[in-house]
Amino acid sequence: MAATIIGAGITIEGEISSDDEVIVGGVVRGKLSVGGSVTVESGAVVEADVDAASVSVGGSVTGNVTAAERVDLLSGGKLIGDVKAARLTIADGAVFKGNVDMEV
Amino acid sequence: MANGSASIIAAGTVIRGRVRADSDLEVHGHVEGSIVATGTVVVAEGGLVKSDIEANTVRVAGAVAGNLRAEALIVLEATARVVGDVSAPTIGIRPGALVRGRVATGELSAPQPARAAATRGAVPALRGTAPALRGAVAGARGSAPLLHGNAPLLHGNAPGSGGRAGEIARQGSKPVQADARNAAVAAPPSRPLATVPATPAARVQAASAPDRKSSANVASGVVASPKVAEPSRPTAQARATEAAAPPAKPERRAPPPVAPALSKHSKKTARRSVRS
Repeated sequence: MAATIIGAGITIEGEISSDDEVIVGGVVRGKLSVGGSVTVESGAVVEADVDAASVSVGGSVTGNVTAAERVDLLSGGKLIGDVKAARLTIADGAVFKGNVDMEV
Repeated sequence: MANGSASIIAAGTVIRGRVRADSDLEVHGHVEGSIVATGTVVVAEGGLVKSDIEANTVRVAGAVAGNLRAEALIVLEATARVVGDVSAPTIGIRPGALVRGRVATGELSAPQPARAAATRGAVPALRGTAPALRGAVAGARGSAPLLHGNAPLLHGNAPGSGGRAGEIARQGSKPVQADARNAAVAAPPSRPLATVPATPAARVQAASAPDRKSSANVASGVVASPKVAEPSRPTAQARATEAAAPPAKPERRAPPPVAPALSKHSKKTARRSVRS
């Protein structure tokens, strides 16, 4: 199955659920529940709680992020919200505000 | 990975809410809510959209439950299933596509206001026609007096259906204009009408309707055919059977793709007329 791509010109207000990978280049408001990985690209805006296997943030995310595997906050990425994940990396130049729960 | 221009809602993805797109959008998964796009929206085979879609161009190969509106073009591919109204300046429906709803073309072009007004005006007349039609069909099945008894009703509705028929005739030159309701309702009443002696009055009325040329054509064409049949079947009852018998006649006037698109409103009457 191919990935779901929410391109730069797209705005979705509501709930997105997917069994597979989701790549966000546009705007998502609401809720994002994904069985695969979520990639928030540079320039993308996510104002939603994100629940996924893994999350990579290069754009802006406002909301709580829960990942079964890992969360990567990339350089230039911005994350405001609590993170719950087994692994978390925060790159140099990333912005992060929130609590971290690594389920120890 | 995403190049910013192409957006894809993959199979296995469900979106509940509003989707706005300044670019093209391809739906392989499910969307419930609404889709508004300035580019092209493609509902791929296997895709399911339970919402209205507004876009510049809409292509449907999957299923849509909702109204489709496009500024330029709507194409329903052979695998398409659409339950809802379809309106765009240009519409293409490939053989095999399923449509249930109102189909309107040219809505966004210049003559829109006049058309819209004409349609609005015609709707009550059509509503009035439906019961009369039912009565007329029953009359045709039963006996001649009943048929005559219905004559005033039919005449009363003649201007409405005549105007409507004119519209159909005008639309006939385009590929898909089959507005089921109109075609189905406009065609059958003219049949019993023709067997009633007082037809000329109806013809005059129809001819005086706004679309004089086309409605006159339709009216006279319709009137002509039973007239030909008259000499060989002199009794009123025989005429009634003649009017009721050939299922080929309504098919000729109302094009076949129309059938699945019939609205609830006219379905019963249309079925009845076909069966009889």
